[in-house]
Amino acid sequence: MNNISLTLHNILHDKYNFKTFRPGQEETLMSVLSGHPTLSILPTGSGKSLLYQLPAHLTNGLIVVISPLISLMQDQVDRIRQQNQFKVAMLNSNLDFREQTQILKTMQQYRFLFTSPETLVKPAVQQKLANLDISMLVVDEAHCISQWGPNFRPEYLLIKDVIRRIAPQRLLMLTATATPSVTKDIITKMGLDPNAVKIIRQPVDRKNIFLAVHRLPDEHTKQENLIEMINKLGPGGVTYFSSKKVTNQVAELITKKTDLRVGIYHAGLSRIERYQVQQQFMHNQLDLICATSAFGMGINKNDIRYVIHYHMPGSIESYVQEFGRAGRDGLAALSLILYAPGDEFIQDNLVQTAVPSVESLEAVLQKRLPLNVFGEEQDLIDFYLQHHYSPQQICQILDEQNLLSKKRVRTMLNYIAGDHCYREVINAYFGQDDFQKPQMCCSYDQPDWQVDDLDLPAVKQQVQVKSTDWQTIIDNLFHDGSI
Amino acid sequence: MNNYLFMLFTEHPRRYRVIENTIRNKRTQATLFWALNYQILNWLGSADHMTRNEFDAWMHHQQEQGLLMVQDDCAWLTKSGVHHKQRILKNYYQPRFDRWTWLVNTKKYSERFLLAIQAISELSFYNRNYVPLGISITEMSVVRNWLTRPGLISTVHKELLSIGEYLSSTDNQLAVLFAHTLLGHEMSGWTDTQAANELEVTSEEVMIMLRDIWLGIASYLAGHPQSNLGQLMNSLLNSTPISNSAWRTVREFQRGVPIPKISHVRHLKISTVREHLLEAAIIIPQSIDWQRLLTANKIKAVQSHHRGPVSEWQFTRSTNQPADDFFYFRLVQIWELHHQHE
Repeated sequence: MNNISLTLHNILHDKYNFKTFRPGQEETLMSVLSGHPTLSILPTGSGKSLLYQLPAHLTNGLIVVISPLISLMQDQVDRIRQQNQFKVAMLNSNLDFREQTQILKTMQQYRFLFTSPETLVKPAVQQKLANLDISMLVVDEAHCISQWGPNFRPEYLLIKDVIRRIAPQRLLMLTATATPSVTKDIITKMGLDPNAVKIIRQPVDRKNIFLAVHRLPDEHTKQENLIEMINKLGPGGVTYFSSKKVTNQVAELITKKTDLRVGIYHAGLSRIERYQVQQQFMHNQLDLICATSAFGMGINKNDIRYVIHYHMPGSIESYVQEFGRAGRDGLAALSLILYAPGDEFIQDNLVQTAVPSVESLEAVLQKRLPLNVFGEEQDLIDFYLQHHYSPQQICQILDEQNLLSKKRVRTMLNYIAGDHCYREVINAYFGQDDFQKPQMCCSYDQPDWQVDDLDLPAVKQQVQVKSTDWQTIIDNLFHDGSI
Repeated sequence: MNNYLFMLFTEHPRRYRVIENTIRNKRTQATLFWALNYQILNWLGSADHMTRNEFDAWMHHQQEQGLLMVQDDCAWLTKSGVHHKQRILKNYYQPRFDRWTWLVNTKKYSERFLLAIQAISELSFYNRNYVPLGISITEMSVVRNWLTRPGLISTVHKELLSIGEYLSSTDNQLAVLFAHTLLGHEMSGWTDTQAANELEVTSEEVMIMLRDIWLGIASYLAGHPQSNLGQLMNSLLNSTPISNSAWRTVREFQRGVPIPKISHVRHLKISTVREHLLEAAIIIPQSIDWQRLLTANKIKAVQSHHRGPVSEWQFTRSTNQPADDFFYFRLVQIWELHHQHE
C-alpha cells in the first residue's frame, strides 16, 4: 500500500467508519486525486457520493457537484449536513433571487456546492466560480449528457464550456448505468480526449439480488399477487408505481390487507411529509414504501430487502437503478416486476415528448405565440430555441428521442417476456458478458422459486412510542425530559 | 379539503368562481366582495395549492353524485347536498382559528418552527449528526442565528408546553396533533395518514387541524413577542390582512389625505387607490373612517336607486362619472352587508 492509499484508508476509517473500500472506489479516488479526468461507472449502492466527499479531506477549495434533479441534490446535501464536517450549499431554481445572490456572495465559505446544469451556466454563477479555487468538478448522473441514454438532458451539453471557463483542478464523472455506446458518447460530449480519460467500470450485476417477473393476466390479479407477495415478504420493501394516484390507491389496499406499516412517497406530498416518511423508513418505523421513482435517489438504507415494480420501468437503465436500492448490505434481496398486459402503454405515454409543429415553433420564435403553448415541454423547447436550434432541428431531435424512448420500452418488454436468463439480458445490455451466475439467479432459471428459497434476512421493526399524552411527547424531545 | 368545500355552498345559488378564488387566495375586489356577502372570508387561501382543474373536477363529481346543481356561473346544494353538509358540520372537525387566516403563510411558518424545534431537541441530546429538515437556505440561517441565544433549551421546552396548553384549552386533539407533528431527536412525528389513523379522523380533517394549529400558534406567539419562539417566528407575521400597498393607502387616508392626492403622491391610479380602500372596507372595516368616506347623502343617493337584498342590486350609471359611481355603489353595498352581519 503506497502513501496515498494509506491516507485514503485512514480517512475512510476515521471519518466514515468503514474498514474497506467498495469495488471501484479506491481506484476512482486514486485516479481523480492524481489529476486524471475520470469516468466511474459504478452500480447503484456502490458508494458514489464518497468519491467526492472524501477528497474534501485532502484538498482545499470548492467541490462543485452538478446534479440533474433537485431531490437528488437535497438528499446529498442532507447527507453531508448529517456528517457535519463541511459547509454545503445548494444553488438551483428552487431558491428565489435573493437567496441565490446571498449564496453567490458567500460562496467562498462553502466546501461543497450542489447545482444544476441550468444554474451553473448562468453568467453570474460562472463568473463567481471562475474567481474561486475549484478543487473538483463532479458531473453526477453523467449519462444525462448522452443522447443515446434514457435521461438525456440538453443542458448537460453546456458543461464542457463551463469546464473551460472555471478550470477545475480535477474532473470526475459518475454514473451507475452506461452502455458502451453511452460511455463513448459521454467522453465525446464532454469534449475530452478519450485517451486521457480514465474509465473505471464495475459490473452492474448485483449477485445478491434475485431477479423475478410475474406475468399476470389482468390488473385485479396483479393486485392480489402484490398483496400475497408482500404478506410473504414482510417489512423492508419498496414498491414503485408510475402514477401518484395509483400509488395512493394501492397503498391504501396494502394497509387494509396486510399488517405492514405503509408509507407513501411522491411529489404530491409536502416537504415535511416526505422528510417524515424517509426518516421513518430509515429507522424501520415504516415497513413498506409505496412510491413513484422520486423515492430512493440518494437513499442510503442498506437493508431494503425487496423492490417490487407494480408498473414496469421505462428502460433497463431505470430498472437497474431502482432495483439496485435493494440489498446494499450485500445480503440476499429480491427484485420483482409485476406485469399485466397493456402496462407498456403507461410507460409509452410517460416517456413520449409532445413534438410541436415547425409552424408553432416559428410562431414562438417570432413572438406571435407565447412559449407556454408548449405546456410541460416549454422549458425543454426554450432551451433549444435559446441555443439557436432551428424549428426543423428541434422537431428532428424530439422525434429521435421519442423513437429511442419507445425502443427502450420495447427492450424492457422483451426482458419481461423472458426467453432468456434475466441476469444474462441485463449484463449483455451493458456489454458485460463475462460474469458468473449466483446460485439463486432469476425466475427464468428458477421458475418454481419461493420466497423462502431466497433466505432474505429479517428486518427488525422498530416500534414507535405511542402516547396520546401530548405533554410527554414534548418532554421526550428534550434530553432531561421534564423541566 | 373535498368535504370542507361543502361549507362554502348553500341551497341558494352562489358564484362558484368566487368560491374557487377565495380558497385559492385570488384576491380581487369582486371576489372579496362576494366572499363577504357569502360570509366565507375566513376560508381565504385555505386551499391555495388547489388548481382550477381540481376544483372543476370536484364540482363535476358532486354534480354526478346529485349533491350540487350548476347553472351558468352559479352552483347550489341539492337537498342531498344540504344533508351532506349537515353531516360534515356535525361530524367533521370545524376550524377554530380561521379568523387568523391572513396572519401567516402556514407552510413557511411551520417549516421554520419545525426545523427550530428539531435543532433544539438534537442540541439537548448533544447530537450534531442528524438530517435537518431541508428548508430554504435563508430560513435555515434564520434558525441558525436564533440557536445562538443563551438558555434556549429549557425556555423553549416551557414555551412548547404553554403552546400545548393554549391549543388544548380550545381542543385537546389540537395539542395532541401539535406534539406529534414536532420533529426532534429520534422523533419524526406523524405523517398526515398516521395522524388520521391515530386520532380517528379523516386526512382532510388532519389538514384543516394542522392549518388551525399553525394559525393558532401564530396568533399566540404574536401575543408573546418577548418569548424565544416569538422572537424566532414573529418576523413571518403579516402586519395586516391586506397587502402592504393597500395598507399604506389606508394609512394615508386615515391621516386625512384625499384620494386624488394619495394617487398623486403614491404614483397610483385613482382606481387602484379605490381598490385598496374597498379591500380594506371589506376585510378590516374598522380601519375605515366611514363617515368621511360615505356621507349620508351618498348613502341616500345609492339607496334611492336600489331596492331588495343588497347582493342583488344592479349597478346603474347615474352621472357621467361611472368609475366614481361604482366606487360609492360598492362601498354602500359593503357598508350594508357589514350592518346586516353585525
